[in-house]
Amino acid sequence: MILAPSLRNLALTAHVTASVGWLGAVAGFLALAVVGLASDDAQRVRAAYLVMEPIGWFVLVPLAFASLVTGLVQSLGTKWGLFRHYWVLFKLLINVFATFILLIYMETLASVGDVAGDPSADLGDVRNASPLLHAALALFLLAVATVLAVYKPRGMTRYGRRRDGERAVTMS
Amino acid sequence: VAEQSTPGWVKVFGIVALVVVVLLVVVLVTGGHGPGRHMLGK
Repeated sequence: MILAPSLRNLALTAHVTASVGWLGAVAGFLALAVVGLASDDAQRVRAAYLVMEPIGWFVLVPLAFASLVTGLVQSLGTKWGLFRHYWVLFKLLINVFATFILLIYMETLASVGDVAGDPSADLGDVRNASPLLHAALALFLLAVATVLAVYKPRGMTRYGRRRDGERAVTMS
Repeated sequence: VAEQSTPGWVKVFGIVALVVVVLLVVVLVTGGHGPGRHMLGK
């Protein structure tokens, strides 16, 4: 089903907002991870790791799902389709992969927060390079997805070429 | 004719994606990674 132009613009606005918002939220998370590793202030280090889990549940996870759902609406409601063009397919794979890893990683963020909240834990045990690594990789993946969305490199899948062929036959 | 063949960028993306997935599976299966690794003595 192809969306009407006004609905299409609304869906596109929602998708861009959610996706770029997710990218920005990961950039903010990356800044927290850097503070956690580099700051000399013990309270600031603990605070950085303590807020990671709430940021994950209340910002990153909702934005990830919002990006996925609005992306599905956007692709299925326009001529692009979900499996017709390689750039759409790769964006979908990146989104699903990043969301899946994020959900798994929430358990780690909970344990990182537990350690940070334990007053008896040594600051060396509180500091953890894992959030920095994961945030940097997520930022890279989301940046790739953004580049794909803007440049829309050409190339149709076998399914897309077949659908185009069927449509040409129907119209002739 | 060019439209019928798979573009070069797709092949590159496909190979990179395959390598990433294989590495992820290997790391997870061998236990060198995952949430449990971050639990400090718990």
